[in-house]
Amino acid sequence: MSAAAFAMEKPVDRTRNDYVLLVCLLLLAGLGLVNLYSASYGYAVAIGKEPGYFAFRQAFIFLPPALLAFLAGTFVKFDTVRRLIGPAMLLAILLLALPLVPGIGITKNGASRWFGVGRFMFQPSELFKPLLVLYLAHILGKKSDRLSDLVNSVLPPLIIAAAGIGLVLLQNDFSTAIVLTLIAVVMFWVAEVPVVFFTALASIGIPLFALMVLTSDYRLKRVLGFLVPSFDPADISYQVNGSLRAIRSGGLWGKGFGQGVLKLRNIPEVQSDFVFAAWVEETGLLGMLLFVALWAVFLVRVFAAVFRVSDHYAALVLLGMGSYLGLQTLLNIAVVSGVVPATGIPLPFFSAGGSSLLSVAIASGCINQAVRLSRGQAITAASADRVVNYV
Amino acid sequence: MERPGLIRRIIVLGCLGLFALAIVWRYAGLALATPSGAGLAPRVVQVRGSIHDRSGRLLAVDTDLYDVSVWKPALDSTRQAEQLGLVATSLQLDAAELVRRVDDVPNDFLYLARRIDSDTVRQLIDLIEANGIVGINIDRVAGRVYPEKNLAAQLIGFVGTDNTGLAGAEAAFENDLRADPAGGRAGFAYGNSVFLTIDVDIQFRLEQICREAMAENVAEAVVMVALEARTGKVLAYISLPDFDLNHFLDADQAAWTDRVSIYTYEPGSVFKVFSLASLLSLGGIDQASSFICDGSFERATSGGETITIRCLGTHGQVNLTKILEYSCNAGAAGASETVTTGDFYQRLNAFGFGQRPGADRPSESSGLFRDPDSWSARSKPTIAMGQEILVTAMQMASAATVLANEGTLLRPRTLEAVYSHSGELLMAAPVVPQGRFMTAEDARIILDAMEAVTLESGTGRRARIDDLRMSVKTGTAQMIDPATRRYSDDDFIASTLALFPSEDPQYIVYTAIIKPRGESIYGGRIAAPLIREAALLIADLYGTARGTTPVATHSGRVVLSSPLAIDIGGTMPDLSGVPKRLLTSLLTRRDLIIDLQGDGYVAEQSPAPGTPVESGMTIVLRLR
Repeated sequence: MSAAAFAMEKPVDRTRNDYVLLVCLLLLAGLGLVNLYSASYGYAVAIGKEPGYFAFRQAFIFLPPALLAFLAGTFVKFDTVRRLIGPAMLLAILLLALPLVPGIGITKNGASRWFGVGRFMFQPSELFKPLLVLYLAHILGKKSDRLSDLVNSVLPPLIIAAAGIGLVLLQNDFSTAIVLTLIAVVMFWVAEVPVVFFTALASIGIPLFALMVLTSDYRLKRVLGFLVPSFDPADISYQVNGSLRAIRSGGLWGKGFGQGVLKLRNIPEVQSDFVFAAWVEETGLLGMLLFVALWAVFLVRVFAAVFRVSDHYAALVLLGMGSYLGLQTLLNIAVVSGVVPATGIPLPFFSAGGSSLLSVAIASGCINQAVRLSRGQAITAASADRVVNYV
Repeated sequence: MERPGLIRRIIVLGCLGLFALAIVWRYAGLALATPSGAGLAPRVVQVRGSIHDRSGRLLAVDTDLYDVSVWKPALDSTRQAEQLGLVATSLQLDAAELVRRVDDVPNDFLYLARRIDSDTVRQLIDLIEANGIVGINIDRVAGRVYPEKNLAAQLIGFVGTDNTGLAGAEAAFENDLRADPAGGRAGFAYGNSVFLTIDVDIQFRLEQICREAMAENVAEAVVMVALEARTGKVLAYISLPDFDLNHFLDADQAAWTDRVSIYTYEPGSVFKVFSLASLLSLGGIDQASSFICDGSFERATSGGETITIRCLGTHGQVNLTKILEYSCNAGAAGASETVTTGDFYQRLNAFGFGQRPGADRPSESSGLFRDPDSWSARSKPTIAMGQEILVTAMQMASAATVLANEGTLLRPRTLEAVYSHSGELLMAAPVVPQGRFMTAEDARIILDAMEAVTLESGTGRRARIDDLRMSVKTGTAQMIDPATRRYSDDDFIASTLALFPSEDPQYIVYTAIIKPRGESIYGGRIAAPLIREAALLIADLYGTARGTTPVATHSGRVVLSSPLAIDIGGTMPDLSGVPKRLLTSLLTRRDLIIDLQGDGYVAEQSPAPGTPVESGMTIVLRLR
């Protein structure tokens, strides 16, 4: 422990950066931007914008604040984060209520996820994802020795999480609520909350989930449209059918960058949740495997750090943020390939949109800080060993 | 395991990993399923085969149609209502309703109109370009067009949006009609053409008279089937109400019902033809067998119960002919006692009752003819008069082929032939005999007895055509009210079966008027006249020999009788219009002076007609 304490006092050390992880991030963000341009120019022209509208907006308007958020995630110390997370959660829940306020909220595709910020729309439920991880890691980490006392230790964070998820559901944003629920469940799980909590949660949650699906005509149609593709009264499978065609036509090698045609008109709003279809059409199965490999390397680095880091909070943050990015990526590409029903889950780094990029940047920043922390310890521990050897 | 929660972390990692593997597997499956090479594989345009009537007239054909959709985010929000209004007018939709629909649908994507023809789309494109409308997409889709619209709608059927057959011949001959992209050349693959046995002329005219009959009798539905008696080919296949095949989705689905092959009902007295034919062929009765009708038929069962079948009248002593002529229930019931239930069931079964007729339909009802094990004591006499058995119109018509073919049942056919796209005959539907179980003499006895039905005392007298011998049977059946499960007091089926000409039946026509609410509900009153009209139409169109129709057989040699030469006797005849060459014989007369002036035909003569002719007279004929 003395080595760790020693490391904490050291100034920031360049050797503590995990360059493999950073290169993965850089490649994902870079490929995401290139792909966004290629995927969206047809659609941008179709709606009367410049061809580069979506990509330039992403690069010049959404990326700078995201970079700041990444740096903040890296350098604002977890101690500070833990001090601020309580008020931040309160603020976040207030923000979640904003889209529901008439006049401020913006309803699009039947969901009231957004509120206006000047010329742009902000989606607070995206921001809620990393905040939920930071918050649950804080509370559950703090009470890690008292978790068998469900009522006093687990119930309060459960209520806060449920409040946020409930507001998202009120926004009629079922898919984001599911991602948030999955993130929360992972957090409770890795924080060693007793198993009885999960059985209780499942026995309430699963019937509730079924009820949510069955009571909404729209959701039922989505699920039916997924189970029986030819049953498509509201033309819901249109996007999925388009993306399946794109994947098939890509084959092993793809058509080459900028050569895709299906993205031009067969997949409406391709720049958002279905941007991966354009990637696969143009780069083929190999491109898809490259993409998965990048994420795999990234997540392996993240989870490797989990086993190294001695700070419980940092470990929980790594697990939570890693699961958040991993789950969201997998769910998105599962939707694109028709494995799960069509939902509104953006693809990290690839999909157009500022709120999503900001949240992904925060998550990456926090991961970076935690990974640096773990490497600092490891390297210092190694050098301490060496010191011992020399002595 | 000093690390806290190692197992739980591994479970999370494992779940993510498995999920990732499953998705990679899915993408690999999708991407490698069809080797697409460097770019897009050349797309084969699949053209579905066309459907024709027996003489090749077009009933269904592929063409290009267009789907019009909107992508809401792409709409110009400031001018949305105005632009959608313009689009709506061009598509002949209600503008306000369309704007509201676009607003209400939670999805960003929705179809405004599907399967629009190319003329409308051309106008729409002009409109979009002229007004700078954005956000409207037009997709070309393969579409089916039915040039004859409502004609034989249930027989022809329709296709779904993916151009696969959903109903009727479109579904039944899907394998023939569908284009096989593997066999395509130069980017096109064609399905085969299907020729149906119906005749558009007959079908159209019979539909017209059925439509009139339906309106006149305020009926819920009218069915009619016309068969070629010697081949089993369906000439007309009518089920009203019908619908325009081009807009089948807009139609009331009650109109989709194929009332010829699927709709089942108790046939009533028309069925006596087949019950008596069964009894006759089984040897239970002969022409001379007689039964007493005192207004009802009564029989004590072995259990001591007495069953009673009421007759509509008191017909006294009746034989086979009289039973049919009067449609005597008691007589038919009595006659049914001459055979066993098992024999009776099997013989009616041989006529096709309780079996699918096999008329090349995608779905056919076999009706309901219960096994004799579940018959009650009333069943046999009741079935003999056409109740307690459910039939389809197609079964009734096809059973009559037995009478027209000297005792052999023919399978009814709606498929005439299949041709390849290049015109090669792939299949011609044969005549399919289904077995013979009746002698020619017995069939003749029934036909003659049915002819008696058209006598002045018979129930079918309104079907009578003076110079065309017809074998007819009428019927009026009460219908079961599904709500009360008892016979309804208001709902009836009035039907009539006819074979003509009786001496050598060429055509079988069967019609049923379902739930008439007009002046009469009786088959003899409303269905028989319909059959009469139908028979007249068919006989006229196909030139069936009729008594007063001058049908002369020509020897093939043209003989002109030499015209009589003109002669002048005691009085002067009227010679006006007579050609000059007939006048030349007059020049041989020594006693008269003939003065022929001019050429051509006689225009004036002197003396006038009727003047006594004397020797040495001068006759002046001026020709022109």
